Amino acid sequence: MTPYRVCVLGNSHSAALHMAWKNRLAPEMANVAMTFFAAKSQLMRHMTLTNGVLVPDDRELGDLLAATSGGLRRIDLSGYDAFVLAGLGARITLTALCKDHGTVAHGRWGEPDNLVSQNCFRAMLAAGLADNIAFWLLDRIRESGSTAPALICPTPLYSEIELERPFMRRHPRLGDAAFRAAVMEEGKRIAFDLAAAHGGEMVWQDESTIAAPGYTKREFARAALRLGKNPTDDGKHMNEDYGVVVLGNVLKRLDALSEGRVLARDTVVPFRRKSA
Amino acid sequence: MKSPYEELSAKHFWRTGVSESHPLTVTDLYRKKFTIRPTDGIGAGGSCFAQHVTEYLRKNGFSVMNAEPAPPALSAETARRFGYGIYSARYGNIYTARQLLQLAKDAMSGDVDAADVWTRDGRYYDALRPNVEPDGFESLEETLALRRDHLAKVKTLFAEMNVFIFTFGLTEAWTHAKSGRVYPTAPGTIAGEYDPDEHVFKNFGFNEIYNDFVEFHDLVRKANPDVKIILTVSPVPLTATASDDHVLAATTYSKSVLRAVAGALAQNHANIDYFPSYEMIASPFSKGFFYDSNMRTVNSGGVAAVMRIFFDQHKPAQAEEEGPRAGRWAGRRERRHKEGRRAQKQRTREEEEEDAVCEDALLEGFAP
Repeated sequence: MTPYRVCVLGNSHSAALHMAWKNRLAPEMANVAMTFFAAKSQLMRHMTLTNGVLVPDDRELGDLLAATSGGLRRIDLSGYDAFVLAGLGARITLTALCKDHGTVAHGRWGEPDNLVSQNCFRAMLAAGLADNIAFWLLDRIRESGSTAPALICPTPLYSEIELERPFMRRHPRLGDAAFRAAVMEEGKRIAFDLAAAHGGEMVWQDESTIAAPGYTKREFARAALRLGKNPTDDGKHMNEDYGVVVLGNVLKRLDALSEGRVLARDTVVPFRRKSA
Repeated sequence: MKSPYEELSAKHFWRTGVSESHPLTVTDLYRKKFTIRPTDGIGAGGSCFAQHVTEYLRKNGFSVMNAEPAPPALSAETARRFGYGIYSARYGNIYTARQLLQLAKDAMSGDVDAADVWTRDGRYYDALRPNVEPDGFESLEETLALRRDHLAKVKTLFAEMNVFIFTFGLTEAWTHAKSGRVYPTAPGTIAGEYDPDEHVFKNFGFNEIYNDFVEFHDLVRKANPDVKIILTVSPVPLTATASDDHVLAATTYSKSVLRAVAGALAQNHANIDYFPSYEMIASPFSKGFFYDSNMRTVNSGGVAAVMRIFFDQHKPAQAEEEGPRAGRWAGRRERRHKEGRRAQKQRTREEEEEDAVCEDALLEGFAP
């Protein structure tokens, strides 16, 4: 039987997904072939679509694609049944967004330094979500004529350890979970709309990984993975356990979209954590 | 026999000053009355032609103040749609002296009035700057809160600016019959609804405009005694007139009055200068070259020609002795405007010139 071919395009955040696939999921899923192409976000934009193939503009990117994909220096978009865009700048950055600006409605959590209209705040949220490489790559995929499902896994939310920083005490609105929940909810709606407008679908961060609105449970940030670097606890990248949860949701969704081509009947989703 | 014209220089004679001169190389058209120091904070406002002036000043290193910087997340284009970065605050176009005076009075008092809010399709618009929220506000409460916040920023701007550059645009305006409030756009153009019993057309005359500006000047000087003002007159003709005159005659009236007021203000006040951008663009000197094919909007060459004259006198690198006032606020200004500059930097000059936000151009849609 021909395996279901998934192409994962990502930046450093795809490392967690890659390790989750390689170490935990691939052995259980013989009917899925997953190819990873990863590089820094800025580099990923340096590709040109030629006859349905994404060709790197320079050797550096070509080398990185080859290193992460197992030797492929270019991406033949016609060769995949589905695409996953991991990280690549698709995110809501609460601190940058809300540190200095807020709406009249936000006033109940403390007066913002700079008042903006609700519409303007939405535009700020949308601007942060719209300007990323994930959508740029998705546009190239659609430009190639591919109608394969394309799922976007946003950049993970920062670890909850960020909540303990002095910065948060200086900005009480950001420290308020209800405030953050309201902003995240609005951002999520915008992100889903944007993804649909680009011909894709958003796979939002799983609730089980979220410690508090806008922040990831610290356990998922321990010994986090990045591209070609040693594990870190930088609070921004996530580990293999996180990758398992994200890929679990991705595979579940692809299974639904492909009418059962992805998961075997006895597959348990979500997959068990390594530490469980 | 001796003539008083005998020893005058070339600029005093039409033949040598104009006929045998060229708009792109003309000299001596403008002589500054005072110097703008590199550290001077410049407040800018006026009709849509002032947008070009403001942008050129920014690009040439002048410290154009930005009391309401755009949120950094927004692209330059989106920020502009929300009225950020066009002038020194989000007041939109200020076409008449009465509108400017009204803004200054509101800023000083901080008063807002629900009567100055228009609606359209369930959205709310600040009638005194209807173009700064592309889709209107969510609620009356939000409209008034944002206006209150805006006025506070304008008050600070008026109190802190060292130089105010203002472009007179129109003599014609629509006002509220009872309150006398003056609007930048006709009711029913962007929002609101025209009601002949409620809205009155007003074509301001010389004395009204002169007195309004003097009142504005005196009001601002109470908070900011050292402020200097540079006036210009927009060379952009009226899109439409609500007077009984032909639009050409109405334009000539409007621009003539504004030019006369600007000249009189400069003559009568040591701290007010007049910069002749109007003459550069609209006079026979330039033979209409500086207008687009609609003979109304000014092309990029025209703006560049005007600003060359300005920069010939006000050189950004021409550092003068810095007064304590300038130094005091320069650091604050730098911090406050950093975000605004970042949002602006990606725009090309061409884009900005094409994108001048002119509400009066919307009237074109009502032409037969």
